[in-house]
Amino acid sequence: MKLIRTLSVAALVLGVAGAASAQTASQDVTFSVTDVNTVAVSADPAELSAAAGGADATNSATTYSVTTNSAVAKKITGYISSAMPTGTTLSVNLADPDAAGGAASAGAVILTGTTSGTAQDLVTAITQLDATAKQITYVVHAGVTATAATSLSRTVTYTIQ
Amino acid sequence: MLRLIPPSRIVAALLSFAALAMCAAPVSAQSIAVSGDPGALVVHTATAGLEPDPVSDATTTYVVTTTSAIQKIVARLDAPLPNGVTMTLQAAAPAGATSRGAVALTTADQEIVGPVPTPGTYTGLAIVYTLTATVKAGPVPTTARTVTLSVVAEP
Repeated sequence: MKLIRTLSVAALVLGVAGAASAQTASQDVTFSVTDVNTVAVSADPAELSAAAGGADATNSATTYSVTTNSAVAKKITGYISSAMPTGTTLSVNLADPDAAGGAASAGAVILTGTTSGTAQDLVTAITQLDATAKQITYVVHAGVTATAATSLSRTVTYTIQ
Repeated sequence: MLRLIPPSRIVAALLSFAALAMCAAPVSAQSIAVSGDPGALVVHTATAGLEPDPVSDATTTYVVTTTSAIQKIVARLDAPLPNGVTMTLQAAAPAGATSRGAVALTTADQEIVGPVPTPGTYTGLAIVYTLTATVKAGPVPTTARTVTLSVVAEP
């Protein structure tokens, strides 16, 4: 009888020991999130044509989108590829990306900077935001001193920094 | 005094042992193992106007042995993720079983594969991790979490 008990207990112990083994596996997953800052525009605006001394030409048909995950305030700056002709100005107004949020539009800014180093602030105080299809308004002004010219173009470069 | 045990009792004892061993063996055989750790998941891009792009890793696999039709696979994290960060795990299912798709991991067991109807060993089953971070998560330094996969019996 004692032998029977001993063998039965041995079998039970084997069973219990086996049930506890290798029912789990683990993996270490390493991850990170970098500082992400992007800005993009929808398209080029149509041609803006203003008469010298006449009404300004305006285009509000294009938009910009922006994403940043930074907790440190970012800004969108802009500059043009070369100076405007004498007597003319090109201004740009980027809509506030978060309406009542912390970011602020600088309003209509006459672009004079022609390098990244002289880029002008257009939107400031942007933090942890994703905003899409925000309006861009371009205005060309031609004063009475402007000389006639056709098919001029300027590239406006936007940067989030 | 020497007492002899009747042969019939010895045979009964051996049969008892064998029966218990056979009952125990299938339980002890259930197991799960992974091929290794996945590569680092780094969220580093975004389409302007949208949340940062998710990143995925599909380089690892698992092998599972089940011994009954009520066994399923669950997974959990060893610690919570930072706010705004989500990690999902999608595990390919053994034949006849159902993957629960991309399951957001938490520190509680989440079912990732439903009951495996046919006991057996299934190898080379893909594991896909995906990391998502909102802009509100902000930058997150290199961090690690341990994901534990388990074979459990369905309640």
